[in-house]
Amino acid sequence: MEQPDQSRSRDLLAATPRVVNVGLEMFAADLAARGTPVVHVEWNPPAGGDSRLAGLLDKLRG
Amino acid sequence: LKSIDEANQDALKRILDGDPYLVDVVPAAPAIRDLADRMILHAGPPIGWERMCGPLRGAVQGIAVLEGWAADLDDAAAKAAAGDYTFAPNHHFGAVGPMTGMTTRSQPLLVVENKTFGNRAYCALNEGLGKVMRFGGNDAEVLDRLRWIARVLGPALGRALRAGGAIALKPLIARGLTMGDEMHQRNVACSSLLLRQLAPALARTAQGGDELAACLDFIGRNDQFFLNVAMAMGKALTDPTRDIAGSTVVTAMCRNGTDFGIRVAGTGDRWFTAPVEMPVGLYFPGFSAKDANPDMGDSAIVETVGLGGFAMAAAPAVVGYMGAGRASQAAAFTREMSEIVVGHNPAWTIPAMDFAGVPTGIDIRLVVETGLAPTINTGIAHREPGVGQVGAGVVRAPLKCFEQALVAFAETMDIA
Repeated sequence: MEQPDQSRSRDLLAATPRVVNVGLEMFAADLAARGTPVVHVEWNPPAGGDSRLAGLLDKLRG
Repeated sequence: LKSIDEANQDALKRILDGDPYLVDVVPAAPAIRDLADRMILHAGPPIGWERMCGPLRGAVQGIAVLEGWAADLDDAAAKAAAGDYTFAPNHHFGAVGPMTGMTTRSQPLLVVENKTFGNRAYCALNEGLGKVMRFGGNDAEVLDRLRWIARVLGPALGRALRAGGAIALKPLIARGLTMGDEMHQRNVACSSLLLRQLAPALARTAQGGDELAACLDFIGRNDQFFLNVAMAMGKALTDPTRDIAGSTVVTAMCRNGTDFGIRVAGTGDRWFTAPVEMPVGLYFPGFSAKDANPDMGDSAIVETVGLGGFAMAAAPAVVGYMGAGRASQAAAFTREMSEIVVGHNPAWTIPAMDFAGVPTGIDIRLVVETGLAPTINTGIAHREPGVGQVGAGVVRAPLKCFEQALVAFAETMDIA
């Protein structure tokens, strides 16, 4: 079985993190306020998470 | 059988292929067939007197007095409550009206003809800013101004258009977008361009120098004069899309101060309604948000064809006027609206976005999926009858309209 690259894991923990935040903007704002480089991606679940509407949207594609 | 995407491309093509001209100004009757005595057309989806907001009631009272259907404002209110007047949406009669949107038999109406499809749409003349009937104003000053518009300005404009020829609106809008207008809350450029084209024929056909001076002065002092032309144009462009089976493109958005309503090509003339939202904006000195009436008017027809809030990037100055953020944020509004449309209009481009076309053809599927409701630039009326405009701002269409429309559209496709 292939072993995880332990040196890369160590680098990840030792270096300053670079973050892509998806969804809730407050996480990105909090990191940015602490000086951590962060790119925020606006994302919401389709139809605001309403499963009935999301199901209809799936059937109404194309 | 066409796919939904193909039907939507058909709807978009019909909007983009439209060729609207301002052809005339005529009295509402007989231009609008079936506009009967004691019938009052209003903005937005259907509503009765009992559910009307303050400014809409104020306008109804004022127009009833103006038409001679009531002795005074109190008498008009009593008669309206007793069912003496018939109320119907402008949209049911091929017309649109800003804010309260009063249309009755004696009102002069702008006539816009879509030469590609041969259909016509109507809108009353713009009264100016402040205490005016479209914002619920109804005192003697308001009524006198409307009488002058009906007696002098309307006939003068009609004569000028018939003598000078129809005015092509597509290139005029294109020019206005390059001069900082978005055609909803900023019409400075298009009002000036229109007056520049109208002035020679107005001068040739006016009944005397005083009449000419009064007409030029009235139009020249009103930065929003073109709004009503743009609205009739929006209606003339969208009407040919009103019945396209299998299309999820929005054909109308409007509000009566109580309900917001939309129509969708694939569901014909059915209204999908939800309570109107409150605009967020700036207020004239002496007024604040507690004075404001919720969203109102047929003017969202301009957003339906890609102007207003959808073309915000063309008009950074209007962002400041409405308190919608920094001028540098104007493009963000247009980019966001690009996520909920079928395509863009190559004839109406925005210089500040590398001449990208305005986002056009709102798809209810994309609105529901993204949760991005259409952005509408709007004036704000006082919530009490008789006061008038108190500010301007930005408002969102309620998502519930689009969710209801999606469910109804699915039923037309036998999908549940």
